[in-house]
Amino acid sequence: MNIKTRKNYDIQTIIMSVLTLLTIVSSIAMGLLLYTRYEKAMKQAEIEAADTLITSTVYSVEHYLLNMRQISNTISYNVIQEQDVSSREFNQELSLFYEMNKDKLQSIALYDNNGKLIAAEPVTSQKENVDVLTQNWFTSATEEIENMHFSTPHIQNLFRDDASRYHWVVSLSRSVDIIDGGTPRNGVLLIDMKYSGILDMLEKINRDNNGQYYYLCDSDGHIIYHPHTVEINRGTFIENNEEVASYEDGIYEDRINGENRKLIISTISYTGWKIVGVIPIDAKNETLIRFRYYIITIVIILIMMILFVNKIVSKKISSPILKLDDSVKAYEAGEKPSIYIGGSSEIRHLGRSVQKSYEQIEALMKEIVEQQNERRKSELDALQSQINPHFLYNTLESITWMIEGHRNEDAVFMISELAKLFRISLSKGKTIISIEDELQHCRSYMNIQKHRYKERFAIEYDIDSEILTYCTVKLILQPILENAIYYGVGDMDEDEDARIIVSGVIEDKDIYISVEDNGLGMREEDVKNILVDNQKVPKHGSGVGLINVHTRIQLMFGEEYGLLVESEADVGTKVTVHLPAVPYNKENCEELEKSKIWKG
Amino acid sequence: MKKNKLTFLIAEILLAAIAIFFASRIFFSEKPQKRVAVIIDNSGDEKWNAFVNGLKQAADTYNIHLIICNTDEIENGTEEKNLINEQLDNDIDAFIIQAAPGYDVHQMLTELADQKPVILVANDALTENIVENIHAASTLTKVMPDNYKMGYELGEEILKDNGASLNGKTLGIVGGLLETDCTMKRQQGLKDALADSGCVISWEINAGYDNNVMDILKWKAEVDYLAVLDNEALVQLCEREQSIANNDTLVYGIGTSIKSVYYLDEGRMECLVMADAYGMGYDSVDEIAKVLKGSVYKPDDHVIDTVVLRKEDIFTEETQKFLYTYE
Repeated sequence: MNIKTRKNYDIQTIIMSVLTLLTIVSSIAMGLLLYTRYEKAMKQAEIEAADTLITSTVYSVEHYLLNMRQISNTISYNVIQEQDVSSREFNQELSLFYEMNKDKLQSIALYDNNGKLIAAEPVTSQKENVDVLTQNWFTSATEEIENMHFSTPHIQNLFRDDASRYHWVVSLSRSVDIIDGGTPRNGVLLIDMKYSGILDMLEKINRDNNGQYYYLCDSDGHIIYHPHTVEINRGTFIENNEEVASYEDGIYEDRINGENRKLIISTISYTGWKIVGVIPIDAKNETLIRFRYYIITIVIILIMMILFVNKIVSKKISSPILKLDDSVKAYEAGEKPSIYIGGSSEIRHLGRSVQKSYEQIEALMKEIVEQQNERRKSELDALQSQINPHFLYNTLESITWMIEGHRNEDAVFMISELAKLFRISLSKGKTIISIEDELQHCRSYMNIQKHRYKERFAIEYDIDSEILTYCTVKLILQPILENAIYYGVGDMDEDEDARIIVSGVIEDKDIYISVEDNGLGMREEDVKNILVDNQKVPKHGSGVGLINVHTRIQLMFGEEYGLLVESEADVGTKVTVHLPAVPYNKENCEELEKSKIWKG
Repeated sequence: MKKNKLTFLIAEILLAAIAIFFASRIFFSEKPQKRVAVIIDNSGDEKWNAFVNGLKQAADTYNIHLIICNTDEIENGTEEKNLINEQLDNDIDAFIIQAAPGYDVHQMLTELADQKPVILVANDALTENIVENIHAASTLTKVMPDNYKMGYELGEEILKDNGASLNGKTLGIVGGLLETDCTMKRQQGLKDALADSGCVISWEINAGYDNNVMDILKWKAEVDYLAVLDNEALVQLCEREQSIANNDTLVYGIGTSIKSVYYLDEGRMECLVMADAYGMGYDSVDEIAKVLKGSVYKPDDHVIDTVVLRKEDIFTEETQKFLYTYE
């Protein structure tokens, strides 16, 4: 058999547990929602900021390159086409342009289509064995004469440097028409822009960027600037620049080395160069990490506060219930506390109902006890009343015989004793009488019986006078004497010295009154069953009378009192009445009359 | 009821402790940067450009605060020790050091390595233990090129230009600072490469902080080949090429600066062997960062790549990528 054991939690614990669970779940859910929303907003803001930055950088780079193109156009249209390249004015104007823009320009050079240097600014010697015909800027310019061509950054390999250094440049080359000594021909104008100009612009936007970075590549995906150029060249950093070069402007997502990234692409006009902003999606920047700590702190404080409120609320709700429960438990434990009535209207109503119920239960209990007492009294009265008719019939018949035999004196004596007997029997309806009256009743009865049995047996009284003033249930000796006569000495002959001894003593606050005869006695088995109120057990003679007496004494004084029967066949029988020593006075009588069991 | 109150109180105290912990993280979440001191001779010299670029890039990647000590010549262990002590007073977490010349440096750096992580770059601390004609490597962690190999490669390049035979040819060797591991190993590598070539080593000199190589060269016998194993000496030599009496001498050098490349381009030397200085800088910080991150990490030696440059290689895409590290 499965027995489910269920732990007993009080209502406050249950309310507190449920509220705590709800608080924690809702607070964490709220924190997560807030954090997720903020993270998304931050990412969006990052993308927007990056987009704005790229737009601004595109503008700067476009402006820078436009400036270069304007220089190229001006030199081409206003200097080269206007002046003979062999003239002094041409060199002066070229020099002037260089001086005006030397912060941005590394050099300006004009080559003829055979790769021969015509003019250069600043004026410096060209390296030996330099073959410009194989250099990309030259071939691009001669192959597509209608366009200007921007190269990727490279070390300038044309002129000597007094400081023995190399210069990183971006070459802008174009085909130009020149007049050399009056002869028109084609040439290539090369403007080498300082790479540092572009580097500065892009390095500026790559500072303090929380994992995001920006790079610049040409339309074929060749890197022009990248904050990790060296790592890319060394193969320790991977960039998908070649793929990105084919993308239109916009925002894309890609994944490199297991990292998800947002790419913001914007194209620089004319050159087709692209600025690419890379924002790692998964990377948590410092602000976001701090916000996470902030949210956790807020959620914990919120939980603490709500728990505190929960505690108060649960106490407020449960306290009246617990008090009511405590008072009911105390009531159940036998105390008589007043039932708690307090708290909300429902609890108060419950308290009142419980109190009313208990009051009703008490009233009913009292009623039941009273009814039981009445019933017991009725039973007692019924038992008492069993004696009278039987005896009265026999006595009256004896008196009748006496009168018919003209034994008037005897009849008078009998009637007189019978009157005493009935006086005591009636006792004004009382159940409790003094032992003295009971003994008087006993004597009257025995006087009547002796007349009836013509003095065939003797009766002796050995009564301690001290017991006379104590209480007894009335008419308890008469049935015993009746038994002693009918089943003891009544059938004995005169010469057998039949005798009944009535004795009474007081011992240890108990009174013992015994009726002893030297009659026929009883078997041991009969003695055992004589006081058992069982219809199936055969009684010796009028055992019913003894049972009545025994029951009446116990009903009045308790189970520890009653009759004790001792008997031996052909020796005699002794029946002892055991009573508490209750002084015969008004109070005790009234109390016993109420049929309360005597409690000493 | 008392148990409930106690549980509630403990829960509130625990939550308060957690809240305080996270609140403190809001204000003090930034981890203090680890401070790494870099001690190299003539730290402002352009020969360190690529190395410093590598250092800075790695420091940025690993969030390390680099302190590149402003130094001139570091002539011996005592000077280096003074610099180290200054930095120890400056709450430095680790050191990247070029070992100074001298035999006493190894002991001093070994003692330092017991206190703070130390990575040696460019030059190993000289030990007195010699195995097969070369000084045994120190027990310290090293991120540097194989100097013996660089000298050997230079010798092979000389041989390559002469059909593997240098019979009757003379060679002068200009080494770096005396009593430095790198100089000794480069010299030994060069000699081993030319051992069976028939080449006669006419003389050997060493560059020093106090002597001018050109002044010494004036007094040396003419040679067919000059092997310069030190960047400063190489640059000095190339700068004053016109003053060398014998212009027929072919120069082969080991260099670490963009100037040495320029002089190769100018045709003032035949061949240049260079180390990947950027890689040396990057890897040294990378290794230090790993050491500082976990106390159980045992740092490893890194052997830095070397490249052999000829004039015709300078403007190839590969070489330009390499030279970009000096930018």
